[in-house]
Amino acid sequence: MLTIENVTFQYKKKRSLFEKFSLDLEPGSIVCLLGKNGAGKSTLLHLISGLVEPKEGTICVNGMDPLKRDPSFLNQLSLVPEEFFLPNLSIRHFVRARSEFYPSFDRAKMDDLLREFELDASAKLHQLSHGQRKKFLIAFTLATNCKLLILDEPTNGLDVPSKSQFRKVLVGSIREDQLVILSTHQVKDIDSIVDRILVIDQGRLLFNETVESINRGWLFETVTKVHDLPDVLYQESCPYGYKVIRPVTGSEETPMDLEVLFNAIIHQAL
Amino acid sequence: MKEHAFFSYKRLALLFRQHYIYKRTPMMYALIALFLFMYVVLVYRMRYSPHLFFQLPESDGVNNGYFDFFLFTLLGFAAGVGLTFSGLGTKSGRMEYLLIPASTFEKYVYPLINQLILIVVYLIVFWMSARLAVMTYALLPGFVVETIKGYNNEIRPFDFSMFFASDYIWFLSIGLLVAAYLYIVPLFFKRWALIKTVLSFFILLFVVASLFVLNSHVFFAEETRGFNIELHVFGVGKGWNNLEVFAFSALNVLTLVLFWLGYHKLKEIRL
Repeated sequence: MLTIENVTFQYKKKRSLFEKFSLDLEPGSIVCLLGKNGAGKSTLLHLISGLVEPKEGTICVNGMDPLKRDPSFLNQLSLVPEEFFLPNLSIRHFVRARSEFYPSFDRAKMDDLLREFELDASAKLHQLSHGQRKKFLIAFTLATNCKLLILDEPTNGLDVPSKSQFRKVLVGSIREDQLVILSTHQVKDIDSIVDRILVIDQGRLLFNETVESINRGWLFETVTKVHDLPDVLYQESCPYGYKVIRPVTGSEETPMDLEVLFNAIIHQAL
Repeated sequence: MKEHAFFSYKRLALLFRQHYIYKRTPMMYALIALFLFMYVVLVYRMRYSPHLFFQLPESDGVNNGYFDFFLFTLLGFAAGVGLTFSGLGTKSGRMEYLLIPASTFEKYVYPLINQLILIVVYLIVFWMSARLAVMTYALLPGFVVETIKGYNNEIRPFDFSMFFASDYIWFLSIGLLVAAYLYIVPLFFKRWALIKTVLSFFILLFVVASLFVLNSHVFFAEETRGFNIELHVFGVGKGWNNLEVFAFSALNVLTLVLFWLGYHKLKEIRL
């Protein structure tokens, strides 16, 4: 589905952001892309979308080169960028203008998603709040049923109820032949819905594991004391004591704490 | 059926559909405003300078009352052509444009075709306002018909044959070159766009002059020295001379080159 091979990329007059970067992703999963500020998350999403050109290496999405911007590639890609442009139209008119570019666009699904996000189809896009516009864009992206969905900071600007609506509609509307890549800093918003975690730092892929294998390998616990615990791989203080990561030794399983996991990866504790 | 990657009528139609859904309300208001503006100005000019609209003696042409006004309003279209790719000036605009599921060629030509459609609509609106202005003028009370010797002292209702009596083919060629230039300039310049646009226009003029110098060196090598034009003028048939044929060819080839450059630049555009 998505293959990145030995990609090197740099912005003009800046040091290389990616060097010999490689990645393979298969459809049927929601992939969470994490990294510190400036790690290159948005740039990686732009590389995959064919919006920027690597200096070296190749990117292949569904057997196509994104840089060629072929219509058959573009009608299977839907991107929710962090900053976006929407024309001064009603939701209904926007959907009418854009939906037919996407062969798998589902009108009924769009109506359901609008209902779920409490958006009125007759509302003008310019009169909506930033959060409402973002919810609309997410709904439109999901309704396209594109094979590759890219969401850059999708929960930024969403209020608390909207974040849970977002999780619900994302999980409920993804098919087996779709790949969702979402990049975020707000890990708490999405840690219950993702299938795979990618962490990038300084142009390198630090971590690439499925949630299933993470849960099989590590325990995420909150404890009051750490010195009498065996095999602590990573610890950080919290209001109730410490959050720790330990290897699984028996059959026990704990829910993954994505924030602690990310910090552990960045501190090279895992 | 798999659609062609380079061009598909369906995708082109979808681009038009999108454009007209986005712009139909402002376009409708703009056309009504344009119609009223042209009508009011034409009636005013007929009232106070009617001789500008009299039939010229022994000619199919008419005095310049319609033509200069027509040229003036066409400048608005030139500005419209120049704004075609203005959305590419922002990152979010570029992203939106680049990710629309249509080929680069379709995205490049549909604004051009759209401008042609707008020009046809504009001509119809101009014709309607000019005809209505003549009818209104005839109904105005107390107007004084000026008598100018040798003129048929009646306002001639507007029709397009008036323009075709003049050298419209030159007007069209120069207009196309300027349109091509204005169309592609925003694709090349992101920063300091205005200064670069003016500078590059002088470069374009220099290229045109250089073509004449080159012609002079090739065909009149003995008389031409340095950056000089020494061309002999002689008739080549159908009322054209050699200089006109060369200038006409140069203008049109340059126009095609500019459109070609613009397309290739658009293909290379990244975020």
